Amino acid sequence: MSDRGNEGLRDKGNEGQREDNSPSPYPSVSPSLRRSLPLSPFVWCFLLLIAAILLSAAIGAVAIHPFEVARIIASRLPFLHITPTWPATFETILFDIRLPRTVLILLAGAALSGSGAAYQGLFRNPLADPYIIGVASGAGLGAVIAMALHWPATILGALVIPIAAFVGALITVGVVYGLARVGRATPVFTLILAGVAIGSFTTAITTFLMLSSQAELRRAISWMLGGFAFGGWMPVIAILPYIIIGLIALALMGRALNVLQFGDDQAQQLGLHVDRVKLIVVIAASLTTAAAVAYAGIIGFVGLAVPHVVRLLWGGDYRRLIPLSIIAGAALLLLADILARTIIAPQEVPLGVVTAMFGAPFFLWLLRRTKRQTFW
Amino acid sequence: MLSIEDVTIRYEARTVLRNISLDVKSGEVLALIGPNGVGKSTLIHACSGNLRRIGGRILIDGHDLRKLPIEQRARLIAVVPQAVRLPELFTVFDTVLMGRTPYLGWLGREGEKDRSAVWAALDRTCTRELADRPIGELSGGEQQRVMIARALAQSARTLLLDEPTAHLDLKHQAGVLSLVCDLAHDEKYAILIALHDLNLAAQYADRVALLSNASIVAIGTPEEVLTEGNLSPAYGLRITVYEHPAHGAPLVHAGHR
Repeated sequence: MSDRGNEGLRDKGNEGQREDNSPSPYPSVSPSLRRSLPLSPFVWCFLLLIAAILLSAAIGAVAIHPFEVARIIASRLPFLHITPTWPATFETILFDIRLPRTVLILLAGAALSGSGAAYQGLFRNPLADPYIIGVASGAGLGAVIAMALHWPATILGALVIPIAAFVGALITVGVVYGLARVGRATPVFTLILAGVAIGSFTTAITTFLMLSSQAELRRAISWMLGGFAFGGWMPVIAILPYIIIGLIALALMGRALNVLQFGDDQAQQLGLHVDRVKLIVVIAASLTTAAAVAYAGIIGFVGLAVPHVVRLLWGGDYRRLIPLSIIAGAALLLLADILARTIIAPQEVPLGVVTAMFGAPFFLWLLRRTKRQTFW
Repeated sequence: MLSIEDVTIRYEARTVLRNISLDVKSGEVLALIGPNGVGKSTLIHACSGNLRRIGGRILIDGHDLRKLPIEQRARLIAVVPQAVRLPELFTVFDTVLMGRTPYLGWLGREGEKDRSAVWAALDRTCTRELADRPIGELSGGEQQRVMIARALAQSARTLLLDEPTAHLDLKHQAGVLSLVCDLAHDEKYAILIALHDLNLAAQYADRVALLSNASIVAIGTPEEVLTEGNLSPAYGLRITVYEHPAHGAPLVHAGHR
């Protein structure tokens, strides 16, 4: 009974056998990770990031050559002894003004891209971005409430806006997640719908508040589009722990997200704790995005497009996609910021405007160049 | 070894399956048959532990399914789903490697043992030469064999297959089911397979269970279950059962000419 129809298939399997029937040696690297690129994708992304950092710190009212930037930074390292050949003001400009801003943007780019990639995996949806379950609308509402209430300047001062944005974002995501739960599971379908519904609701309230307080309207819009009103290292220190912890957690979820691409049922049958994975991804991505949004405003398109760019170049394996999106996102947002500061210098275009205006055509061009457009 | 004890499954107000009891022993292929919507897939689903609120018990190798942690469950029982709507760009190797998920833990990286299990599973399903190919490029039969390879990589001794031949042509149907039989007879897997094609059940299964109206109405060898008396009321049509001229297995024909 078992021999019927099997002969044709059996023959194919014997091609790899040796004469003495010993098993052929097993390759030690998974075939799909062997790619025909001259350098590892991580090398490419890191190089891009370093170039972007140096360039970002070099541009400003006082031009400092990127190589000089590198040397000035290197001179602060204890083990290298580089004698300064630059005016002392350069160091002040660099370390007090420019580098804090560069690092802030770098962190925001990393946070948004990493979260975007993770959400695209979680929702199995190419249109997912870090704001999909309400972080942006919640942050906006928090910030606008703080502005509308004219929070007393003595308590927390100007810090109240980023803190309110952060808290608003997390509360909103909490509400969305709570609404989306069905028994002990959280289907992605309900998560998206709840996110859209709550997002619309909070945006409506935000808009209403903005319109009823004309004086604050301009300030609110300016924040939302990516206003870096705070200088110095304080914002960086404030958001660093959330972003680092969140991104590490997301990067570790790569394998689980791969398995999740086969659907919740199959993932569960393969032994994955599906609901735990979803909870971790939602918490980590929300923390990182809320932290980024608190000081950077709501910068669109980066979280959506960077993972797709990485996917087009190096494939959709989430073990690689998330770390690469993090690095590439940091670099690309820095490049966008360079554009924002230079195209109508000395004025600055809000970062959110630049990412959309230049990001979209670039992304379309990249899509056209690729023949295969299958998402996963 | 799979033991389904007095299982009842309700979906909203409707009772989908009532007091189902069934055993699948090592070394046998038990085919679940019945009309569309009768609950074959639901029962398979329940046996994999995906359904939470069910009456009765399901035991795998003596362990109550609901009390097992999810990784343990995946090491004892593996499901081969229909090969539809698969993410297209994962390679065959990576897909089968996901069968090792229950052994890898949260931060685990795959080791030599995991890779060996994957290559062994690829060899067993004759998909070794496809290892580098994205699964979206494969034919239906090849994809189904990859799904079987993934289940084999789990090193579980009980397999559940949910209508694996539904979208396959004759050659691939025969290939997949021959493989399933070999796994049971040569390697002593316990295999529960939901099939819609009664003649395939007759050819390949050791025992057959007929589901109708939320219960098992007949269970036994193909000759015992596939009779006109059992099948006509279950399917609500006039069914004729012949004897295959070459090997005597039942040959089922719907309607009459």
